[in-house]
Amino acid sequence: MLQLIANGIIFGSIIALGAIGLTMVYGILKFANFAHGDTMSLGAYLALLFFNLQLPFPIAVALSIVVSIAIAILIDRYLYRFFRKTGPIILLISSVGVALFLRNVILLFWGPDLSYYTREIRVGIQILPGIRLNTFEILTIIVTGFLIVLVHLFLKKTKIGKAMRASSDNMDLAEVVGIDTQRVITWTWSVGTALAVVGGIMLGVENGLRPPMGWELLLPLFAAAILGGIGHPYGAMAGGMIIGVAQEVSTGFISTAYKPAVAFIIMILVLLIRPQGIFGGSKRWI
Amino acid sequence: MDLSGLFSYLIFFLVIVSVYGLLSLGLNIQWGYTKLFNIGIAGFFAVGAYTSAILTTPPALDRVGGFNTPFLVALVIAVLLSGLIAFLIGIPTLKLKEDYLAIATIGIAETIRLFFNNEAWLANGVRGVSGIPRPFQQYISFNYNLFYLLLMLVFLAGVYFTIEKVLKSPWGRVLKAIGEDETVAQAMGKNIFRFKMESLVLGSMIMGMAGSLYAHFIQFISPEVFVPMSGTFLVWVMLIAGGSGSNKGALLGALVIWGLWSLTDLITNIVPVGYAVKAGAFRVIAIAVFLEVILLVRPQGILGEKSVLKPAKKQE
Amino acid sequence: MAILEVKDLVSGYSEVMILNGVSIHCSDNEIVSIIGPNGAGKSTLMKSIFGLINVKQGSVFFDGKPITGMRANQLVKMGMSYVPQEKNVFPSLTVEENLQMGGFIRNDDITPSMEKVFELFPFIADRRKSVSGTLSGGGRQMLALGRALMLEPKLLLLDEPSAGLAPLVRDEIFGKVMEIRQSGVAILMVEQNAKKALEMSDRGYVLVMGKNRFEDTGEALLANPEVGRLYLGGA
Repeated sequence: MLQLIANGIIFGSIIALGAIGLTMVYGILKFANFAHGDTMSLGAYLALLFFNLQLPFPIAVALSIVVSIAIAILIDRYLYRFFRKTGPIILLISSVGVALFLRNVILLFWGPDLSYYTREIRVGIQILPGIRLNTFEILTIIVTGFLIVLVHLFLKKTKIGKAMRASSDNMDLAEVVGIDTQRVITWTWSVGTALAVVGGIMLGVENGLRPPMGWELLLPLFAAAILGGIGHPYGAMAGGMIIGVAQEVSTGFISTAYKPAVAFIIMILVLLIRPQGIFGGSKRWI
Repeated sequence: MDLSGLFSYLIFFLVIVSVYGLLSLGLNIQWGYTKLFNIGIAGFFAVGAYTSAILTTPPALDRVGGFNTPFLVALVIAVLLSGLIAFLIGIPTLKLKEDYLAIATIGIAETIRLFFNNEAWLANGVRGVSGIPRPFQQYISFNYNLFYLLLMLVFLAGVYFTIEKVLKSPWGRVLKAIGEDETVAQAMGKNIFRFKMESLVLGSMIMGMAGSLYAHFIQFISPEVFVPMSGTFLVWVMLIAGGSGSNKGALLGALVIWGLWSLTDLITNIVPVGYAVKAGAFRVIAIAVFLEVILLVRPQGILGEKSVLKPAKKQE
Repeated sequence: MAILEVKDLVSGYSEVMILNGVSIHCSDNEIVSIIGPNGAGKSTLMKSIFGLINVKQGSVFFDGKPITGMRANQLVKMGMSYVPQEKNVFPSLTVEENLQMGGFIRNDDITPSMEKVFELFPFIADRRKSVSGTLSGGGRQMLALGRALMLEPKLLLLDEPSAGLAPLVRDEIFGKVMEIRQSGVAILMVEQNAKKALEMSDRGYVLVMGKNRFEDTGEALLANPEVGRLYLGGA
């Protein structure tokens, strides 16, 4: 049981990293981005590409983040931008198209089989009675914690971070007061994509890489974002952890194949009982 | 391919187009009229198909079955069950912002697929259900597929004319009003939730019907059929390309997009076996790009009405 | 010299024109009110000046420079601030953060401006770390005014600053508006509360059916029997 919770925290870290970006894009650009999961896959595969070019792993990760951000911003500039005035649903449909596009580009270049960064066997260490984690898993938790603190400082202390929160509150007012909303949008994609890429790479190290890896994560991502109150980055972090732990613990009772269904059921329960999410104070997203 | 081969391919092709036509009509009620964003079409399609499959197949050793239900009875049950699931999914989501329905429907579709994938006692899991009987086969002395196409056309015409009539009734006009401006419809004193629910349930029932008819034609179904790509996304492309809000557009979209999809399939079959996966991926990329181009260039579709999807305003 | 000059402005939403040739001006260090019945186009005029609605015809000059069709983010850089009627603060940001957002385009130290705002509004100064969504209606209005002042603007556009406020709070806000004006900022104000607005204004316009029907000093408009009968709620 303890081990399942520990696994849940690792998986929850990955979900949290993805859900933060999802919720930010929702808050500022006002649409449910169905391509976010596939952005995670893209980041994981790009890191594989650079890693296979004999670059050190941290450099490969950094390059993957940079390239993924560039792709995300290009998609926003040349596609989503034209749909912003037509409303959130056209954006949503368009993002489903982008999701399929990304996933199949990955399939085209890397094929359907499982890929690995390394085939090295990782040995678990006993860290607490009943819990064994390998070094990578410990690193996952540390890196996630570090990134969450970083995001927190970014949103609370920097001018552009505050402008992002302001734009999430009221985009029209942000424009009226002179906030450079285009820059806010660029930053939103950058931060969201960077976190998604790190999450995707973590997932790739933990489970190996498959083209649908990110798409399959979409349901837990949305569940986490909704649980935390969509539009609220802090809620997404907590929501991710809760969903991750719930999914892993559920495997103690039901088939592991039902993990996505667990996320789905939690999401439906939240929608029924408290649609603004457990951390969302206001009902403004409804 | 000789002439008779071409003829039988054409019949097969048209039967599948009819199945997609039903799905597209169902989606048009939900999206084209009421702006309900259902991306769990595959789920309702699967419920319809599996219901019919389980109810009509002869007994099997390793799963439930042997109910020997007549075709039409099974079809009715399949339709009702799809409607019931739509009803249940509507309760928590229809009062919320539109995106929640989208997320919830994709959730239910994936859950349904996982369920059939894992519960082998019910429907043989990943191996799928085979030997689904062909209705009225004993009475048909001529080309059975041709008979089935006629049967499909009867159902399609029935659904088409029924919903054309229904959507032109006062009820349909309320749906359209909700789709165009919910606040105005609300101000008119309409119970938005009830109308949305009716639209969701009716559309999903038609999707269930499509599933049932598909299962009886192909005679074999497995969870693989109900992945989001073929089950849901293609239907969306069909409706958007054809023109959401127009039933004729929905049918035309089904024909055109399935035509393109099959054409790319033929091309995929030409390439060496080793490249099949890549060619398949390329097909999906092409259709995704196609969708984005339609959204950019002609968001109202081939036959769609301008007011249904407002064209993108000029960007400053 | 006129800080703002609007000539024959025609504007509205898509096909429906709300303003049909409005001409107004506002001089340096002047407070000008625009009054008129509901639907006369008062808010539309504000939004058109501030580039939030596309202008179809006519022209707008700010400080002698043509600004017709310029976007809000350019106008704030030139020294024009706008306080919308409602939803005019960022509710999840603190009071201090709201003011920082008011000074977003400035790259210099904004602390002196912020201290000036806090001096003018001690009420929000006491709540500088509070989340602004928790403020009262009057507190939010003060914060919105303060936020607009963070740019040290030459002209302030106020859209119904007293809307939805209790009489006592309303008088306090009007008092603050006078103080702002005395510090050398020109003010163009749209007000529902016409009598009060004209009493404090140097000049006023009465906007009817998308056109300015009357123009005079505040006192003269108050004394004008026709204006009084039609737009000030009886003689």
